[in-house]
Amino acid sequence: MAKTYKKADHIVSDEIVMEAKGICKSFPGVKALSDVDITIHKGEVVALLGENGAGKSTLIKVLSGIYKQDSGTVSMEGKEMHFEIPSDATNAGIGVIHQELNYVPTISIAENIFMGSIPKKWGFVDYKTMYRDAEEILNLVGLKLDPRMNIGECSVAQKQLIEIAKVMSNNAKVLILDEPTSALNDIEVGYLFQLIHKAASEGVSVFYISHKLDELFEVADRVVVVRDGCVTGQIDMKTATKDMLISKMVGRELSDMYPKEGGIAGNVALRVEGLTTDSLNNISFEARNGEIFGIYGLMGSGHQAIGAALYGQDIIHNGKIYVNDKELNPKTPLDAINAGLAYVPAERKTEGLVLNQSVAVNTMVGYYCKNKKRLLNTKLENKETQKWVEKFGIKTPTVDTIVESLSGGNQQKVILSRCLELAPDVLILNEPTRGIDVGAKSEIYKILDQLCQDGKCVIIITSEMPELLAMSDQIMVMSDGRTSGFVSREEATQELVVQYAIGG
Amino acid sequence: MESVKKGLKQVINKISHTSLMTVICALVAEIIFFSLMSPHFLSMKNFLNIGLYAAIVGCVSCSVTLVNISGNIDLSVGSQIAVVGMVAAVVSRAGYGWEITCLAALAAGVACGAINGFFITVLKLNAFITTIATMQSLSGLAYLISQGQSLPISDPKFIFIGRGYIAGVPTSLIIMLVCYVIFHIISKYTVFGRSVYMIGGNAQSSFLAGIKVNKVRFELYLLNGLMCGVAGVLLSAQTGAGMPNAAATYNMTALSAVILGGAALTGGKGTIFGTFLGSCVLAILNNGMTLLSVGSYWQYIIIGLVLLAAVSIDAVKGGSLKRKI
Repeated sequence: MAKTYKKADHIVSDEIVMEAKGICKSFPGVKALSDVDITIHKGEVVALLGENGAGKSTLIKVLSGIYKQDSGTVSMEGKEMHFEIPSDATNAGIGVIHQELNYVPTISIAENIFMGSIPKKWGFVDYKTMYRDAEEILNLVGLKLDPRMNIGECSVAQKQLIEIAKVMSNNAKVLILDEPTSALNDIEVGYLFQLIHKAASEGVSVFYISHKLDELFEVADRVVVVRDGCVTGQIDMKTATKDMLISKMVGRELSDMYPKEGGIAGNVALRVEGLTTDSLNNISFEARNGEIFGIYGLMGSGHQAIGAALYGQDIIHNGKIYVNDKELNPKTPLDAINAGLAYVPAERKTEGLVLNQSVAVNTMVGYYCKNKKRLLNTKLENKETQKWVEKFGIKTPTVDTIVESLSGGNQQKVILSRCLELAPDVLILNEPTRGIDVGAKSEIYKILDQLCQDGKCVIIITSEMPELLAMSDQIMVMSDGRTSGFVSREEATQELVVQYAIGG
Repeated sequence: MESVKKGLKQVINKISHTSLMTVICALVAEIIFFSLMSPHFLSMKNFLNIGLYAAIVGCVSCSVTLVNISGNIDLSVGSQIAVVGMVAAVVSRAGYGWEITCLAALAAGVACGAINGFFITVLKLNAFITTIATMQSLSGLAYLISQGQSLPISDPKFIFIGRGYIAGVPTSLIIMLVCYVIFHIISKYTVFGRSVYMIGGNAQSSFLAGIKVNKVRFELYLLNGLMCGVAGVLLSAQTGAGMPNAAATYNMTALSAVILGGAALTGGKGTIFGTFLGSCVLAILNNGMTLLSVGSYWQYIIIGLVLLAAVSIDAVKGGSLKRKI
């Protein structure tokens, strides 16, 4: 568990390992970085903090040779570097773990680790050496896996750890981790932090990017805040406070991250009895109108599968679902929609949106399906979409803008608009704020709270503890496909929830 | 005058920002080239002639466009058309009128589409593999119906569909144009058409948003079968016979027209109007080269090169040279 982990004191030397000066980078129409200076010392953990679109990712891509800067210099240990292709950066000792993992799911763990440098003997693959070395590398991150296994069979967290092990094994001098914890549970996050500190105490410098403020206090020595392509603050973590970081980051005071006022609990809107699927075992719960019902579990506990089961994605073997006392037997998502459910999937880009279509098209797709329309109504489309754009403050040039060009938070709001356009009785959100920035998060919480006050039933399935505790009126904790405990808002503490989650 | 200029500017602006730019340039270049090279090219009669022969592939290209936009593929259209042509010949020769013949032919097309649809949406086989299989089986079926012989059709009313003229315009051409208008409306103004684009963009998201993905896919293959029916009727009416081997090259011509028109084989992108332009380019190329007595082997080579050139231009415009992989 993250909280019990104590930050180790490692020594940061004065020696500058990597230095970037006056970095500018423009894309057509956007100045992504203007005059950014950043340094990192040997054995230092520097957190990069900023809203989505602030320029963090661009900076990382410049540092790791994926983008070429328009002006400015990057130097390693005093030597100016000119990265032409990403492997130049790798050879110079920069290891990057990207947000989106790179792996080939159909080949073994060992082959994935050694991709590009498979050990050979007389021109043939030296399997013995490869598997032995792979096992050693996996041990680095404490994974006990058979390197012959297909990487596709691993959990997301395991894949992430394998990726980290792979990068660390390259003797990197600078490690860059881009939101490494978004798919990890608290235990795995704790483990990752230990790894980072171990690396740092061995003299490796680490750039750490995350939206989760709490993490930074545990892992970082110094935080660099980026806003609108400029560095707006460099703060020693010993003196930093959460409010201070947030205000530097968004340029305004966020008085309350979780604006929970709450609604008045009403009738039971969703009742689930003995729901059993391939990954769920006899799940029963009731969610009421005017309340937020939180579902929490560690990775692989099946909490994600509840959304899929309720929404007709998985085959239900047993059990009953009632929406406002009417039985629902969802065979397809459309059945669930017609019964009054709406669902925000966990993966925005692969499950939520059709990225090459416009904001309006994505907003209205559910409406046409639910109302069995045959002809498009462009006028209504524009009017309704405009309504949501204004209501939720979606930052988009027009409603006809391709949704791919929007930031993560705005994309999430488009999915929310689509769900609310269905006028649902029950709104289910799977990881409602994964990978979006603090400002947008807070706005989404506000929307959810407002729905609650309007007497709607909201269900959030989440792996983020602060979000769960701050927003839920009732909490169901899951472990190994079963319900391991119910916790009410009053008695909810992180300790209790985690205890249930690990199966106690 | 000012507003006309402004409007024109807007249209030009719009065109130059879409993927239609390449195909429009190809079309214009072609027309200029052939009218300079051949005195017979630039005449009403020749253009109606082009339309007459482009009609068959043109019809089927409409529905192939939608299939491709949805991220699927149908390689069996040529064989479907052959089967339809044979069915039309058999029914007509049995003494039935042109109405029954057409209905039987369209039904045969829909049945072929249903076979593809069943394997692709119920058993969820890969569309590529399924239609490679049905391409061969249906082609075999077409040969089997007449033991490989051509079956002449003598019903003049049926032949009129292929060779007749209404107000000086070939019937086939009118049918094709009507098809394009209908498909344009389907793709732009109906929920079905919108769903096709959504599924091609991201099937999983579309499914979760409430679209009945498999139903739409199945209907697409039915629709494609129906259009093969129309094309099969036109083919047998134009040639005056059911010929099992006549439609073999239609697969690739239809796909070429769709690709020239800017549709992505990966789905989510493309327009009916683009395909219309694409089939014009191919039909005019064919006609022009024949007028210039270019040998048919050379014609194949040149059509292939034109397709490669068009796709290359679009790829380079899309920044393919700047990408590393």
